[in-house]
Amino acid sequence: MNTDDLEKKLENLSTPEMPPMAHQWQLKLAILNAKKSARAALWLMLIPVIVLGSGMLHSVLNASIPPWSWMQEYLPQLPVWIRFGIFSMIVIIIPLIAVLLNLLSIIWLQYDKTKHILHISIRMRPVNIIIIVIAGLLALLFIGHTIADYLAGTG
Amino acid sequence: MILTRFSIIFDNYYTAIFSYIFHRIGDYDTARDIASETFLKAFINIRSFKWKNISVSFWIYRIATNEMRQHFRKKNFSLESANMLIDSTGWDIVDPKTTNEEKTALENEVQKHADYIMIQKKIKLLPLSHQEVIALRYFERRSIKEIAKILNKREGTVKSLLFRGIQKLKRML
Repeated sequence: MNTDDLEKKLENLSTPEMPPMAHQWQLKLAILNAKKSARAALWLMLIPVIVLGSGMLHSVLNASIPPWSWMQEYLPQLPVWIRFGIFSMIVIIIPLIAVLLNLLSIIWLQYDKTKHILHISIRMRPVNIIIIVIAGLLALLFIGHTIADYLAGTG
Repeated sequence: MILTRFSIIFDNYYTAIFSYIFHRIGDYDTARDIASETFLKAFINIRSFKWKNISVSFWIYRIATNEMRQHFRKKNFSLESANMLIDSTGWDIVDPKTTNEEKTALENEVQKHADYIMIQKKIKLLPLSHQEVIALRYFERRSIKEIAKILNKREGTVKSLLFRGIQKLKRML
C-alpha cells in the first residue's frame, strides 16, 4: 500500500460511534456532589438545633444557657415583627435551606429534547437523606406551630 | 456559577472526549477511567482556566491527551483525582450493573469496524507523538490547526509528525 492509498483509507476510515453511557450521569453526579453541600447543610441545621436545645435545657434545668439566654435578654427589646423574623429565620428558613441544599446534591435532572424525556437521578446517600428528613420535620413543625398560633390568635 | 459552567462543558464534551480516548485506547474500562480523570482535573482547574489563547474544547482535549500520555508512560497509571473524589464523597463512579451492558454494547459496535480495529492496533505500536496526531486527524477528524492547538505544537511540527507517522504506519501494513 502506498502513502496516498493509506491516507485515502485513513480519510475514509469509519470509527465506532459511542452508545449512550450511564457513566456520564454517574460521573457528573459524583463531581457535582463533591461540593460537600451535605457538610454545609449540616452546619445550617445545627443553628436551630443549638437554639432549641439551649431553650429546652433552660426549661428543664432552669439554667441560663446561651444562645437562648441571649435571645431572652435582647429579643424582648425588639419590635414584634423583627422578633418574628429572627425566629422564622432560625427555625424555618435555615432548615429549609438545608433541605434544598441536600436535595440539590442528590437529585439531578436533565431533559432529553430529542425523546422528550425528563431524566431524574437520585443518589441514595444516607447522610443527605437524614438531613433532609430532620431539617424538613423541624421546618414543618414550626410552620405548623406558626399557623396554629395565627389561627388561635385570630379565631 | 462554576457548577453551571462545568455542567455545560461536561454535557457538551463528555461523549466526544470519551470517544477520543476510546478510539486511542480501545478498552472500555481504561477509557472510562481516563475520561473520569480528565473531567475531574477539568473541574478542579476550571477556576484557574482563562479563555486566553485556547478554547474550552481544545483545553479538555489537551487534558485528555495528557492523561493518555501518563497512561501509556506509566504502567501503574493511577486515578489520583478520581480516588480523591471517591474518598471525599463516598461516591462510586463505577456502577457494575451498567458497566457490563455498556461494555458489551461498545464491543458490538467496535466489531462493525474491521479496518478501524486493524489500524488502531498498528497505531498503538507507533511513538506517542505520532499516535496523537494520527488519532486526532483520522479518528477525531480534527484539522492540522486544531491539532496544533490541542497539542500545543506548531502547525509545521504537526504536519511533520503526521507525515512521519503515516510513513511508519505504511511500513507496518
